Amino acid sequence: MPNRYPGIELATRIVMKNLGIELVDMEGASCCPAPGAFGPADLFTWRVLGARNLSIAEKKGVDVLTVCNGCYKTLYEVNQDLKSDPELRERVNEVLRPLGYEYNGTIRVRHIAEYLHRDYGVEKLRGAVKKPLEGIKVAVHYGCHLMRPKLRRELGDSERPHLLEDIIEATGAECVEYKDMMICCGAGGGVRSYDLALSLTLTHTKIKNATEAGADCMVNVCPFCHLQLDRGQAELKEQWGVYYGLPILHYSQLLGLAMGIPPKMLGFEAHYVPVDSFLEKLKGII
Amino acid sequence: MSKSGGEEPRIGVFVCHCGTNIAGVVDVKEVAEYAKTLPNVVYATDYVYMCSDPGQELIKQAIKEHNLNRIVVAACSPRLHELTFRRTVSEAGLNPFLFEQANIREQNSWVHMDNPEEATRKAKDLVRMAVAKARLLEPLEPKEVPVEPAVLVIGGGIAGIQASLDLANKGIRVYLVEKEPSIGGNMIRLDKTFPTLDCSACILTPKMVDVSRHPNITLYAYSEVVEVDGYIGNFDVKILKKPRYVREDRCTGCGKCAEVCPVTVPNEFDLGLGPRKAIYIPFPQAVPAVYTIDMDHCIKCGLCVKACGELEAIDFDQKPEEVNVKVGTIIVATGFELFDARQKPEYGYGIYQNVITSLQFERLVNASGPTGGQIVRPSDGKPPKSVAILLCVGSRDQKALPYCSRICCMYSLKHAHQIKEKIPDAEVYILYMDIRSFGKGYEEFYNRVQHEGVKLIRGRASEIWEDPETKNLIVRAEDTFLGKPVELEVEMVILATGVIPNPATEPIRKALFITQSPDGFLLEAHPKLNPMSTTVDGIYLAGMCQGPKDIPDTVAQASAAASAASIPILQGKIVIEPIVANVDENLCGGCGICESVCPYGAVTVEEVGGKRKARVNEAKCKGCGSCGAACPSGAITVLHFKDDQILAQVDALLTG
Amino acid sequence: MSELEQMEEKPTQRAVFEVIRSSEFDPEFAKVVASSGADEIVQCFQCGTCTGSCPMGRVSAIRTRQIIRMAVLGLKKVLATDELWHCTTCGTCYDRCPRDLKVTEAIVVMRMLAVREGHIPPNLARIVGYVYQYGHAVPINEEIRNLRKKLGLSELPPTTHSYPQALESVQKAMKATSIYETVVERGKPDRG
Ligand SMILES: Cc1cc2nc3c(=O)[nH]c(=O)nc-3n(C[C@H](O)[C@H](O)[C@H](O)COP(=O)(O)OP(=O)(O)OC[C@H]3O[C@@H](n4cnc5c(N)ncnc54)[C@H](O)[C@@H]3O)c2cc1C
Ligand code: SF4
Ligand code: SF4
Repeated sequence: MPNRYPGIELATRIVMKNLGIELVDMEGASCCPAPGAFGPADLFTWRVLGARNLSIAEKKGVDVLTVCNGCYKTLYEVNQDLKSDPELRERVNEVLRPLGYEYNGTIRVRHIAEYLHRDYGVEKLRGAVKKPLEGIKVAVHYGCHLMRPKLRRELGDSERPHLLEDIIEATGAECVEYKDMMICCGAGGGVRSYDLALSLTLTHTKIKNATEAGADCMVNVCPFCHLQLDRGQAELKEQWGVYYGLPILHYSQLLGLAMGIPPKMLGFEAHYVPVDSFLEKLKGII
Repeated sequence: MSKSGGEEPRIGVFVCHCGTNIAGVVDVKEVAEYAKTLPNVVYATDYVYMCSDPGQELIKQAIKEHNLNRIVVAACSPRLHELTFRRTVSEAGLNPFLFEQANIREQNSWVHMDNPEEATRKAKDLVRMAVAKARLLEPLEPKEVPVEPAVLVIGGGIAGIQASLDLANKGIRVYLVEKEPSIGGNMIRLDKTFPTLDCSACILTPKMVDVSRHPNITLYAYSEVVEVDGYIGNFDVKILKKPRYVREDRCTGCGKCAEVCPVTVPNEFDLGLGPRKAIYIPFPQAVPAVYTIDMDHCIKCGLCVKACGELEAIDFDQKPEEVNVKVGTIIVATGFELFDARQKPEYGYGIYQNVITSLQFERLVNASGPTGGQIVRPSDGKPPKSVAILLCVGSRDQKALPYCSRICCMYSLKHAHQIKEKIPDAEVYILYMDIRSFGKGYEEFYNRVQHEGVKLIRGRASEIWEDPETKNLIVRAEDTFLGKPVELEVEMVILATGVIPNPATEPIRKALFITQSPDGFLLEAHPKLNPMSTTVDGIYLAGMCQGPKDIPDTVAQASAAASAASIPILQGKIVIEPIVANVDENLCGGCGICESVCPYGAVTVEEVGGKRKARVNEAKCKGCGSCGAACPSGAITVLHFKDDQILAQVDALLTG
Repeated sequence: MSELEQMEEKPTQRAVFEVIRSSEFDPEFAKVVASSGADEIVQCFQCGTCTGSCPMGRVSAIRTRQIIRMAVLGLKKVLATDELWHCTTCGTCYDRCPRDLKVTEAIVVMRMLAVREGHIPPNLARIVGYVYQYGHAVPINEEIRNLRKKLGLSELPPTTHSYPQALESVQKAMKATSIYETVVERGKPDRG
């Protein structure tokens, strides 16, 4: 996120501050590392680097909060694996200890969407909205790794969830249903870098279906999905000659708009699909 | 009558080869020789099959020749032959409880096949322990109790109906309790029945009428069993008749009241597909043909009272009524319910109008159903030109029901046939993992349906999407034979939803102290040899409540249960195993822990001479020993498993 | 590409039919897949829910059920297939498998085994290389540095980018595991 869409980082920092939630930086953290693009190289290394990141937060005595489904998958599952398997934990710590880190299993890993929904509360969130985004139609993109695999989460059903709908509707926007809403953006599992054209076929399905359902924008909770859905549209234009121009927003950005944060501060410059037309629609509101 | 304890024990030990089952691993001769060295053993031998006639004769002869008064047989599990050998020793004039069996097969030779030496040693240990106990065995006398000549049948589906009629025809009084306003259960909802396609109502209603007319059957419909006390031969049953607000003795079932009733609600009998009034009869052939007022929806306008007129059958003030009956045995036939398809959200049941369950389809296709037998889809009332039937919805699914529901393959083939019959140009797909057409005439029926042009796709459906405009459904799956994902656009989907025990079974199960298997269905006494009994004496099972089954199997089991339930009644008395808990009132402090741990409700704490003492109901007690283990003052022991007998075994084990 | 697809693409060309011989079954392979995190895949009853659920299966030749099938039979050549890398790890199959198998994890495990056998897709080597070099799979670039400044964020994020010592510990950790030899070394640009 910080290296592609710094606007999401800034939006998150401002939004959380306004909600009265203190964020603490994890200095020296690395890539989570990416579950699909890095994990298969060696699952043990994946866990070691994940545990290293967790131990940074442990030292500060705070839970980890992420705005990315990939980080959520890695850190949540590594945390789960190491908490439940002392032997694995020991093997990981054998690598980490000489480097000055130790994983102890003392904290929890939270995703911003799930945190806002369950801990902060949808009602309170609605109260924090200053400029309800009325009349805005949002296509929801969960991204796979927030809810799935459901047996490794505690967020309930992954077929027809309403977690994101709840927090999006708290901004005053309306969610539209579209075909194949729950499918992947196409990028995950390293497919984006393995075979871009293939990954774009799924992106195309999503963007097309959402556009046909009359969405004004698509909202996600993962910078990697964000990249695929946003930059992917530019790539689709280039490779297939089709262009939908559907603005892509991270939830932090959407909430930021609804809380009255000026669009300038939400880093839309880094987007491939311009959000101007969308902001135009919001004119009367923000 | 028989030789008893008191005198010096003279023990005979008989080691069985069980062909090579035991002798192939254990050195049986060595075990027999060893037995001879044990205290009080005056005779020991081995033989190839102790349970055979010559084997038993051997025991009887030895008892006479060596004047034996305690017998130990080292052989298979006592579950198999304890009764055989008890009879043998009793025939030789000994009290049958002066017998002890050591299990050197299931618990030894079968599990230590690779280690014959250790197995032989273990056999010696087991024999030594059995001998130690045998030394302390006491003669016990079985008790007899008279049997109440009546049977309670709970549940009025085809299982309960069949069992009731069989019993009544034998001249036995039957109390049939059904919680719904009418008997008939799920079968009366069905249209035709596989594989012969006879009309379900046509074959069932004559039996329902027989029930209502039979002089030996008392029917309590719209009633529930609320309390059961007692034991085999003598159960006291409390039945609650729910108020219908219509007097059964006056209502003629003319239906004038429903004509005028202004309140319309979905009919649960039609699974929400059709309407009924607040005063209603669930279906035209209901037995008893008496109307019922649904007070949750009645507005008490009184129009029905006027319509009923002089019959004066409607009584808004009716109260629940309690009835007490005494019976000797009980048959549970509480049946099933469909698995809630909403638990598989990927199929959209409850969200997409045109996704229905199999039982809803039965109502749709039924001539007496809400559409008069026309197959139409709920969204627009038009006959669907394409239908997909999804098998294993909930069944064979570790995320839902791990078991096979057994009936869905066949009823789905039937549904496919029925659609083809009524809408010949409709495309019908069945998505399946396996077609289980195991019964008589079933494979032939499968073949026939294929011949009719139904397309079977081997793959379990993955998900369903609805086209919001057409309300058509897109079913996704893999055709695993082609190895390709498929998308079927159809106008209606039928979910072949699995079956679960009727939730109303649970309170009955608890009241009767019967158990369930891990799948939630009621547990039979033995899966092969006693599938119609429970582990509680005098309580039997019939139909779906014991596990998924079709009508032929349900009827067969119901008749078997009726036969089993009639045996104690025809015998007139029952013999009770004397291996029961026994309270030493001098030690009992009346704390009641035993009462709380007893899984059969056999111990109760009662006032005896101003003091609280535990009392054991010997007919209910199964001798499980839970109370004995829990009693803090050592006041309860189980006869035949007394503390000193068990401790002697432990000592023998440790001092070998 | 499956035989059928080949036939469809070149209707005049006859597909090559091959017999799978039991001598190709490697019983150890199935066990290794199971013990590396895929667990009880032998319980798969080939219902096809996974393939039918797979969004990628609609646009690529990946057949999830067949991948599991090959693993169960011990057909190790599954590791050399292109399709193994088409899974987006979305987890839909995992969530729906009626045998409760960890389908997605089985695929990830097989990818790891493929890597160990030397089947390393270049993108994987590149990403691992980036993590080794920068601590990030997606390192920062000039443009983003400028944008960060403009937004009032620190030019470099407070990650390994800002803390060279932290980066060093990431590198040491990677050197301490087998990934360095199997992937990082091979993935270096000069090795192609
Ligand atoms: C869609 C569908 C189609 C089918 N088609 C066929 C077919 O074509 N051929 C075939 O052979 N089989 C078919 N079957 C199977 C058949 O329906 C069952 O085998 C049969 O109904 C089982 O009868 P039962 O009496 O055991 O249970 P049920 O029919 O469920 O009857 C149980 C009765 O007990 C009552 N009850 C439950 N709890 C209590 C309580 N606590 N107190 C009092 N009463 C209680 C219930 O109200 C009910 O009336 C089909 C099943 C379904 C779901
Ligand atoms: S869904 Fe599960 S059981 Fe079915 S084919 Fe796939 S892995 Fe096997
Ligand atoms: S996890 Fe992979 S194989 Fe499974 S459905 Fe998603 S993309 Fe397909």
